[in-house]
Amino acid sequence: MRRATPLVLAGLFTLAGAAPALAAHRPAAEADVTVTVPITAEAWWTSSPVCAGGVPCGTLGATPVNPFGAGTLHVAVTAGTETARSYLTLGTAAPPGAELTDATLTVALDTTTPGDGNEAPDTSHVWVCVTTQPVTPGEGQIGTPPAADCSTHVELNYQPGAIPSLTGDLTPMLAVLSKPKITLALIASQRSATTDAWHVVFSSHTRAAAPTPPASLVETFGPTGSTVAPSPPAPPAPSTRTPALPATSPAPPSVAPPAYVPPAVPLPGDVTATDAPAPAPQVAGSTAAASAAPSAPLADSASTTVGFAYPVVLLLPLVIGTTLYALGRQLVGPMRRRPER
Amino acid sequence: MTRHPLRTALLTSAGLIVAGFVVIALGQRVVARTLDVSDQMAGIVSGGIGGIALISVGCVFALVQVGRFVEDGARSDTDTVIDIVAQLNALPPAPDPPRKTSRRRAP
Repeated sequence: MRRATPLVLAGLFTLAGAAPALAAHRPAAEADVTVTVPITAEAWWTSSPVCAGGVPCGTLGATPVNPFGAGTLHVAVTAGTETARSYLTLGTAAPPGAELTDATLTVALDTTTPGDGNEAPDTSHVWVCVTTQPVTPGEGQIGTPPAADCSTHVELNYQPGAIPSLTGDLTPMLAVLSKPKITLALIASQRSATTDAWHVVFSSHTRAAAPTPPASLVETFGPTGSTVAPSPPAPPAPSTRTPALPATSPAPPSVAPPAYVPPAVPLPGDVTATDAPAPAPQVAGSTAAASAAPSAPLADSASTTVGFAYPVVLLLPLVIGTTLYALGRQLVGPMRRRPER
Repeated sequence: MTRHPLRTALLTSAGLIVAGFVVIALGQRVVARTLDVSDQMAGIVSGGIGGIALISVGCVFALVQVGRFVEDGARSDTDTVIDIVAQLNALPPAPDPPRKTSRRRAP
């Protein structure tokens, strides 16, 4: 048996093992693939907390509560000041090797459930921004919410109907949506006028007996390189209404959280008033349920693609094995001058 | 004419070192073309650490093989000395030198 025979046999066996994987690999996204992005966490913050028992929230022992229905999410403005904002943490839906070409966000509004705070949704100005900061699932949280980056944003448009909705084409945000661990921040437009007062309500994925479907983000993936041009920086989507402020006013590069200072809540055992932020309100059956399984996807992805973006990597074990074999053979071989044949 | 025993080893080492630099260059391309840290980590780990590992393996392999070659040379010299000694031992024993007869003094 020649010395190279084991090497040849090892190579043939490796190729035979890798052949099914190479043959089964489907080139990623030869055609457009539409995927409903799973939303892994939802939360909303408020800057106007309501405390239990009608006690003013600055009072000793006052506990903030969620005054609205469990499982609802809110974006609101009162007298031109943002009072509620929501966050939707996105899961991973991108097929390997595919390029995001289109994204559409649809937020079905709950305008029928009394007591959920719905108010003049047709006059709403909701911006979709992004944040990369971690978002704690919860309802009616107070304190400082994660900062939203609105350097690239889209304004949602109100769509009347049996179930009115806010929709937005997120194409200008494709660059940021392509990144992992992105959270969408639904905030009030920074162009709200002091006379604006609206409150939109929509269902979370955990809402029991939800009258409306939860928010959904549908992304379309095409072959790599199918994007025509890089997205322009943040042209706001055309709105069906006249903006509260002149459209020429520049958008701020980054929107700070609402300047809300929570009421002082004494810590246990502390008899003096402190400036420590109040703890997040504990809403029965909502926050606890959300924290019980914060990372579980709330919606399944419409499609799943497996495989490697570069299937040639399957030959890497062969290369590594061949190299190790050659090195080992030289290391244990004789180190003597061989006479010329 | 003989083929130098270090030729294959040094060629292999050179190949590993060159491959390491190529992998580092590829990793640098991956890191430079994106601002996404999660993508950059793949380039840093696979390109940077992988390239450094290849270069290290190439250098260590060359060092080991050169050491073996030098050791083999020393062993060869030792064998030569042993052979010479053996040959010397195989020679017929030299005749004893003539003894000097001692004269006893007469009492």
